[in-house]
Amino acid sequence: VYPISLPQREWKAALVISKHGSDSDGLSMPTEPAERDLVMELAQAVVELVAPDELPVLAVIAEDYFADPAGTLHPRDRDHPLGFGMDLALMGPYALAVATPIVQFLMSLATDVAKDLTKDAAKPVVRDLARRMFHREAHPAGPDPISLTKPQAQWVHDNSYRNALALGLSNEQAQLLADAMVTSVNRGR
Amino acid sequence: MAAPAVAAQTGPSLDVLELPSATTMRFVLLTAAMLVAGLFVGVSMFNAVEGVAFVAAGAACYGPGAAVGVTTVSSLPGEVAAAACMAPIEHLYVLYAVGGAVTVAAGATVVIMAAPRVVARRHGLRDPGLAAAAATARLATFCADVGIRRPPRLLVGPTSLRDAFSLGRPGRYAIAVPLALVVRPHTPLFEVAMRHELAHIRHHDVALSWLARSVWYTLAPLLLLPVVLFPLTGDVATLPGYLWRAAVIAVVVALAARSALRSRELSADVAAARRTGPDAVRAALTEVRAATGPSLRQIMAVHPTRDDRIAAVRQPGRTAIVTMTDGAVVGFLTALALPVLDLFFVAVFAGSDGLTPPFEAASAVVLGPLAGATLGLGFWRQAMVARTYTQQAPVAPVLVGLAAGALAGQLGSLGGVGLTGAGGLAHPVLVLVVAGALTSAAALTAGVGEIWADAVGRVTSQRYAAFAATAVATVLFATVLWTADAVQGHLDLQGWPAVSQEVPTGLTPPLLSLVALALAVATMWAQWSARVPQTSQAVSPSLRTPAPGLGQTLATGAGAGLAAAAVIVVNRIRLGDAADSAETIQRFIGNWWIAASAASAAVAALALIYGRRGCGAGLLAGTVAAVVAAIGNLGLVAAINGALPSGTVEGTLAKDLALGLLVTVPTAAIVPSYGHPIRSRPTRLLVVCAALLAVGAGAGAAAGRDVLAVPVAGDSQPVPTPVTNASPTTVPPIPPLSIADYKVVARLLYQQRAGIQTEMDAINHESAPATTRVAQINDRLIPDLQRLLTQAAAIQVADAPAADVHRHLLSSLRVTITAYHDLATGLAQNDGAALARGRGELTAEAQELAIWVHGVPGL
Repeated sequence: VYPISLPQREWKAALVISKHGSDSDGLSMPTEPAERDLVMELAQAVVELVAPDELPVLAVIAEDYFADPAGTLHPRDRDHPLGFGMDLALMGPYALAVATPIVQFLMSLATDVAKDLTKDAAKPVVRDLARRMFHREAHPAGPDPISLTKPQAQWVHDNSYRNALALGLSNEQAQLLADAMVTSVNRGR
Repeated sequence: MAAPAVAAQTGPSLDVLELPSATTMRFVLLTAAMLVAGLFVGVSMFNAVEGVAFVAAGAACYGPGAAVGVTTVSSLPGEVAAAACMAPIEHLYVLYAVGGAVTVAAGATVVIMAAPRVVARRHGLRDPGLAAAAATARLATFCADVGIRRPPRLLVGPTSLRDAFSLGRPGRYAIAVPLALVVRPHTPLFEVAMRHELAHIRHHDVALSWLARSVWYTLAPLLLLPVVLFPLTGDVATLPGYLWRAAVIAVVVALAARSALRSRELSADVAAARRTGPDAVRAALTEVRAATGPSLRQIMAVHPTRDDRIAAVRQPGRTAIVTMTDGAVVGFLTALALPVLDLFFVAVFAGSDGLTPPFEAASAVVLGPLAGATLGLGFWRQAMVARTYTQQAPVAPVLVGLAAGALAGQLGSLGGVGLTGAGGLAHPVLVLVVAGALTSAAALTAGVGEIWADAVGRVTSQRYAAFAATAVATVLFATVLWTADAVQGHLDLQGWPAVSQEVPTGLTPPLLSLVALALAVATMWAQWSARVPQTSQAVSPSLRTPAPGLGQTLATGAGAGLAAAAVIVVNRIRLGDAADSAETIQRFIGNWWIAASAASAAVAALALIYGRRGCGAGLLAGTVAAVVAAIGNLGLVAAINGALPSGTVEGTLAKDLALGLLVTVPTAAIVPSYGHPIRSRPTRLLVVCAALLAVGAGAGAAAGRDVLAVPVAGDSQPVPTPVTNASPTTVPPIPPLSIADYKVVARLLYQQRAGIQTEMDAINHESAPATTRVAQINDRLIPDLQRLLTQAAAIQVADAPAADVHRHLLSSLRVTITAYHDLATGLAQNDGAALARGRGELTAEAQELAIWVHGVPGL
């Protein structure tokens, strides 16, 4: 277990990680393809729990989300003539949005683990460590997985919950998403 | 405006969706009004490009400072020549105007064709492929359920698409579905949303809404064109008047289109609930964006509020209620288009001759059916639903909305641009004429809807009754709009005295009497159908309310007619012989008003006792009353004179029927028809009530004859001294007319001849002493005939068959003059042979005239 000090910041600030990329709306975005893959994998794990019927189209959702995150999460309020008038959202984009800072957080944990390695050599190790936190059965032969401490898991939950609420999900949906996030991150523990 | 509260659903089920919807006509009316606005854009182009040439042509053809006046026989030759001179430029005017409308229509067609592709691209819609196989299969199942043979394509939107909507064009529809629905094809929400969209497609909403939108997308930029053109032509003063009208049109068109769309959404929800059950739709509506409270955003929304939608699913009858907004939209669009159409048809008809044409009739034929069909179908549907689901919805708000809309439409019409006075009228208060007429027609139409709803389920099918109710309303609105437009224009130009003298001729043409008869026969058929014991379960017995029976309606009309006839007799006894020809004619016309007041009394009595249904039945009772009063009047003449002169019967009946219809319509709006129907069958009460009202109204008409039939002033034109042999040399030579020109000139000649017929009828009708009648014939009638003959003889027709037809008119006029000479001689000298000869000549004259009247249209 590698305890780290939890950042004491407001939920909005949690989304903006200065050393990582972010879009103009302040949503934290993965900076590298590998990080994007991690976000996708974590979101897939979450969606599997909260909206499994969206899994077949999650790749499409991710493509739309990474192309225009704000437009996907907050589309223009269009009252289509001859429409049904509903505002039916998918969970996938929210899972992706909430998963991004969590992945970045997990990578920061993994970076601590791999701090003795040279920078370039550390990158794959960090990614693998981070991946193994929520996808460990796929890598049975690797190094021991990192397990989150209780406070760390609580941070993941609280952060996910607050971010989900900030993105417009209902309290019930936000709770569901946060629980699924913690479950996914601690999978196999 | 929210629909009025209605009672909980009770009674046997009636499928509201099976009833034809009036919203379709609203879309058509909206589109027509926008196309008419396109006419105005074309006219603006004409003014900018050809304005100088038009003014120059006017000065050259009519001479500088030519005054606009009423066409008379004397002014005919000059006007024909000037009109022929103006024809090319007038035709150009029409071409520009039509070009504006055609441009709008063509642009709209392009938009309709391109819209599906543009919408799909803008929303990023794509073919879902195998990912949506289950959704596509379910959609096909739903299509089969509702009888859609060619299922729409299913397109998937990007993740940002959160609503399903329909698009496409007839035969090639598609439904855009959000990913969130595609991945859940077996959920109730998917079924409700898809059935809702299929309802839109099945009810042709996609085509209609795109029709209205595409016309607007084309018209909106074109409306900016005059803003550029006016300053270029130095017509800056016109700009403010144009700008505010264009702005009003833009706002109202947007509001009207959205109001119609909201109505269609309710129908689509009800259609979905019909298959899935109301609970599923109510549950699905929790996913709908919630609107809070009345706000501008809600007025502009294309969907009703969630609460309204849930209420419609719970009580489908609410979707059939005609609201104040519906009335306002119909009134506004009709009145908006009317002045522009009038200007257009003036040019169309006047382009080749410059004579007074029935342009009001042409405008009414275009707009009346649209307004009538919209409200006629709406009121009938409301009446049908009221019999099954709800209490009767009030009509008063619709009438208020219609009146307000009609007033606003006239004031905001582009037809008033550049004209002084509100609504383009010198007397702006006259906008009340058209607004009042439309409101009255709507009140009567509400009654027609009730009468035809009564007929359903007995011997008449729903579709037949809907068609009949719509047809009656169509005819009614066209007739009322025609007359009101003509009266409004004539009042504005000439004032009431002149109009009162036109009532016997131009404002009550024979066609109007035929319309009155047709409406009466239709009402009789509806009431006859309602007599048969009900076989359908469509109408709840608990909601059935008393309606006037056929016998009661006929008795009411007869009672009012007899009372009016009595008033005519008493009035004749009271007044004695007429002093002069002017008074003779005035009394003659006054008797028509008394007969018309009988029609009004019959409607009032039925409306007071039977409410809205009484109004509807009034179309029959009013006609019966007018006919009975006319028969009484003719009986009086026969009793005094010993015989009825030729043509008197037809003339009197036709005028009484026509005027009776014109008076019946406003009565329907004036009489508050909100009384609770009396459960017994109050035939005696009805008859007595109608008779008393007829006596009162008839006495009022008799007392007010100086107002209703303003005495004819002396003819200012010099009376030619020769009694026979017309003198063509007194008329400027007219170049030979083409057949088309002759047809228009013939219409004017016919109008003049009809005016003289009134004098002839009055002389034949009144039982004045022989010396008085001789004086009337010699001093007035023969000179008038002589003048007409002189003008007619000056007309040359290039075409031989037309010239032959024209000879029958000349022959008729000559024989008429001879006949009245003989009659005058017979009366003066008490010469029976001369009288008999005169009557025989009148018969021959009638035959010659008939050949001419029937021959002209065949040219």
